[in-house]
Amino acid sequence: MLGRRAAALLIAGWALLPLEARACAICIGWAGGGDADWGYYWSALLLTLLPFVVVALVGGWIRRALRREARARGRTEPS
Amino acid sequence: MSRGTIVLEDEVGTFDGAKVGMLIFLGAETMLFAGFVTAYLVFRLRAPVWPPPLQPRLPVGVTAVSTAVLLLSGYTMWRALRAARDGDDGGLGRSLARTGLLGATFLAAQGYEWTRLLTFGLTAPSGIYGGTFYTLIGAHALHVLAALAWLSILLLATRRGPMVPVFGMYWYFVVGLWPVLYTLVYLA
Repeated sequence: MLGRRAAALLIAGWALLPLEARACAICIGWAGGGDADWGYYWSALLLTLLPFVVVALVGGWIRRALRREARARGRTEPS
Repeated sequence: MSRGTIVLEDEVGTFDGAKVGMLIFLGAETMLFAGFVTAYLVFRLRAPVWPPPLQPRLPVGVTAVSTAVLLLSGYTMWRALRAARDGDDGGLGRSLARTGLLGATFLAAQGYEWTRLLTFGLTAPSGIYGGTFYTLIGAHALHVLAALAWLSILLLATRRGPMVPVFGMYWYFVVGLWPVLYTLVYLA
């Protein structure tokens, strides 16, 4: 297992040498510049945020369905 | 509640479990296509010239017609859902059959376009252009094919009512995704 000190050193190393942290097979050979930087940036951002959006949408749909059902039940049950 | 529908229940209320399952599945599908689309964008933006030299151009006009056909199938699916809600079995069958016919037309047009592109030398191993094209458009075509197989089962089933709204969600996903892919791959 990686010790805490070793992990901290690794993170600090990546912070000081950010280009070395480009471990992905596509990004590592890329020297940077041009439209591709824009592509990498927005792709990473989209793929990072999308799972949260998807989970929020599914959760929202379930919540809405349950509320609608509760309202319908409230209307049919005698007070 | 109609027979054949799985229902999740707690003290707050009930909802259709099949719809939730489909929603989660479509969430996973969204992630899959987001991965394909971002990979395509990165490859495309890295290339100095796109399409690469000596590669065939994609048939924008023919695909625009098949896009219209697929969008029209979204409308017939909406009619089918309305017929299912109103309990109109005849209307449901007719609308589902029209949806299937339009989907099959779209798929046939795509297949014809692919055979032409293959004869012009655009294959998946021919380069990043062909590879990304067949992955992205091929994944969508596979989804349309799966939807058509499901639709065939629905058309043959005697009690299709409960599953039609769930199938509708899938069909809307397949139809809604295509204009995004068409704009990205063919027009942009």
